Amino acid sequence: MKILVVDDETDVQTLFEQRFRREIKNGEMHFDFAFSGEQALKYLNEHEQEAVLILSDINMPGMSGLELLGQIKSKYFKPPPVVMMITAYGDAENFNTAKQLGADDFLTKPVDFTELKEKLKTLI
Amino acid sequence: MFLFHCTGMSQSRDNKPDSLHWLLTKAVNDTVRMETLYKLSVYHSESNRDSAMFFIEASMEIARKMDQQLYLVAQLMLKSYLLQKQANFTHGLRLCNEALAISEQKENEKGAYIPQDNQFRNDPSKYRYSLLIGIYHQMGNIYSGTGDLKKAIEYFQREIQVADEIGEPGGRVTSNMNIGSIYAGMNQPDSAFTYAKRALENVSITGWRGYEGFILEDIGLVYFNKGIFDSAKIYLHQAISVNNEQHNLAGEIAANTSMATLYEKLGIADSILFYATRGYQLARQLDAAKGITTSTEQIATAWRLNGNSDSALAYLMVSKKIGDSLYKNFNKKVTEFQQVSFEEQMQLEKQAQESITARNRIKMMALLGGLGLLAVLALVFFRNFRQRQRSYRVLEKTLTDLKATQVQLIHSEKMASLGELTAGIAHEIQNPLNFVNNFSEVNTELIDEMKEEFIKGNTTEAVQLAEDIKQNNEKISFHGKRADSIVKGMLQHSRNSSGQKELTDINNLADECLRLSYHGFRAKDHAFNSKTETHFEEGLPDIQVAPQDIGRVLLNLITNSFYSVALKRKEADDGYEPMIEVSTKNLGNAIEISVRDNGNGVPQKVLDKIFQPFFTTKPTGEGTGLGLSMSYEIITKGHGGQLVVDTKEGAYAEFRITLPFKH
Repeated sequence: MKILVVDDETDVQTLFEQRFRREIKNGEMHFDFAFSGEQALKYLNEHEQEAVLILSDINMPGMSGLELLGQIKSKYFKPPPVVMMITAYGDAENFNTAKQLGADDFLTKPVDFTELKEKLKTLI
Repeated sequence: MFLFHCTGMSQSRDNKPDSLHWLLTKAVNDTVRMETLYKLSVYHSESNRDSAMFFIEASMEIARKMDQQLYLVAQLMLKSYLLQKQANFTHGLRLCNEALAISEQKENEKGAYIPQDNQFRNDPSKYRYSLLIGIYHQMGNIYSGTGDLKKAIEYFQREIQVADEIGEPGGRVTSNMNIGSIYAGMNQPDSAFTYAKRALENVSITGWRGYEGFILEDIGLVYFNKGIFDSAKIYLHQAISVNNEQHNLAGEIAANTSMATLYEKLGIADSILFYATRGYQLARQLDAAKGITTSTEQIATAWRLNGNSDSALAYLMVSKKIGDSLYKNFNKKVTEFQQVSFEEQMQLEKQAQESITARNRIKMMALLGGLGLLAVLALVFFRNFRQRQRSYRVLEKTLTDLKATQVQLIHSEKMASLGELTAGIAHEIQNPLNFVNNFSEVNTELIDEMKEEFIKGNTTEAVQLAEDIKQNNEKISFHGKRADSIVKGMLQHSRNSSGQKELTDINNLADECLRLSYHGFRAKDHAFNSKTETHFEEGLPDIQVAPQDIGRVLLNLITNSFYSVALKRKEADDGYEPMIEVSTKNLGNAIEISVRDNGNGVPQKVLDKIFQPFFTTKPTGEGTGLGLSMSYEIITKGHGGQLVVDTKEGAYAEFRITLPFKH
């Protein structure tokens, strides 16, 4: 399964690769990274045919995670990817907007990796 | 308190400006245009004096072109009134003399245009005589404005006399009202009451209610001075609502501050705050310095009564600042008036002499006049000197008070901007801390795995794991330092700036400020987002600046930019993309930092005010109005640099800082 992580913090890549090193080694999961909403859209346009799960931060300069979510859910990506939103502000407003735009799940920072692993495994 | 008002000549502010503007566009002849412009000026006379001045001058131009001398008298009086309201007594009196001269010429009656609604429409001779009402009234206004109360009462009495002779009750409203005000100010409440009541009677006779609010206020103040507070309250209430109904802004300001004064006497803080705030808002609208000083002082009293000494101090400072400039300006104008009105009198006398006496007698007179002038000038200078000495003592005390307040204010502004940033800072620290926690947890797991590999004897695997652990450790230390520098930056911002200059990397500082303001703003308004771009020139030299001061300026400018694009975003269509750019440039002997946004820009009409203390376009309570003025001080006085703005309304605003440095 391909998972696209979208976050403006580049060290997120190292972190995910280490946290999920067993799953990556076994070939259970495959991670790709985008460091802005714009990059993520570009990636999706180029990888249209692959099943994708997206983990996106909300608070990013330029296109925000919520805008990205809106674009993904309202546009042409097929099959529609599962999108989980991650934010540092766990407030109701962000949560509701994300739900309204069609987010499949909502996580708050700091991310609990054990919980995230469980969720991803059930999805796979 | 003294309040003096315009002529009684068929001036009603009942006309609505919309219908007047409509009339203006439809006007087919100059007479209609002239009269409509005059009415527009009357309409704005108590609410927007710049517009009133504009319209009266346009109207006068037509009257001059058509040689309508008698109509010019009414116009001159309105202009004189507007000038008097700006404390320009000299010019105001000059216009009165001009008007007197015109109304004395009988031939001006020929072909004179008399407004439709004037009661002497069919009697040019009486009409000409009735103009004296307005002139005497205005002269009374000017003399009372400069403190010559005896002369003022004399002119108002003349006004009543003429009004009685020709049966014009309008003149009796304002004259009685003003005499009443003067007696109230001289603390003769009984006389004040008698005249105010007479004015009120004439209001009901004429049905002309433009200044009824002022009269009601005067009666309220009489009751107040006599200690009958219940009656005072009733009259002041009426005064506020009548003034409001009649669009008499100046009257509404006065009535509100008087009401606040009443509540000051009664010691009810909430009511003081209510009426003084209303008075303050209206005075700001009219740009009435005296109203602003009085109301801010009252607001300060209210805060003090509520135990909030910080806000009280802030308002006291506003009041003192405006009060001082007002006092200085007023003194200057009064002295000017005293000199000029004397010269004018001399000239009139000289003219009278010319017609009856021989040439050499005139020479003699002129000589004597010159001597007299010298003597009076000496007297004026002496009075000036004494006045100045007195003002100096007052100023000195004010200065010490001001210094104390300033320290307090700078502190509040700093705390306010820190408050705005707190949420952003919290977010900025949270991110690196998450990395620290995550990577150290990962390392624990990796060390366990490494142990297993050792036991199995897979040294290659173990060494690979050790590499990973080392790399993670570097990340931990990197993010630890990142959090550390944010905390240090925040401490620096809140600490009292020593103004100590040190070698500083401007690009670093600008970047840090941009991040802080961005997150601070996002934290307050989650729905908002904006692109940010940095164009930093590489290889800038480190320069000697006070980093926390420059940081504060940058935070301020960037936060303003975010505020501006957020506001535009709310109003603009979907095509609008907010954008903030921060750039640096090496100019050779200075570094330029620019903060540019594509928000609404700065409106042309406030452009020269934005660096003034307490000027803010934000709604009340959202801005201290000190940010830009402090920034300006820091850049120009603190660093010998420049802070300039380049803007186009509706398109962009760019603030550029230049900081000179030595090689």
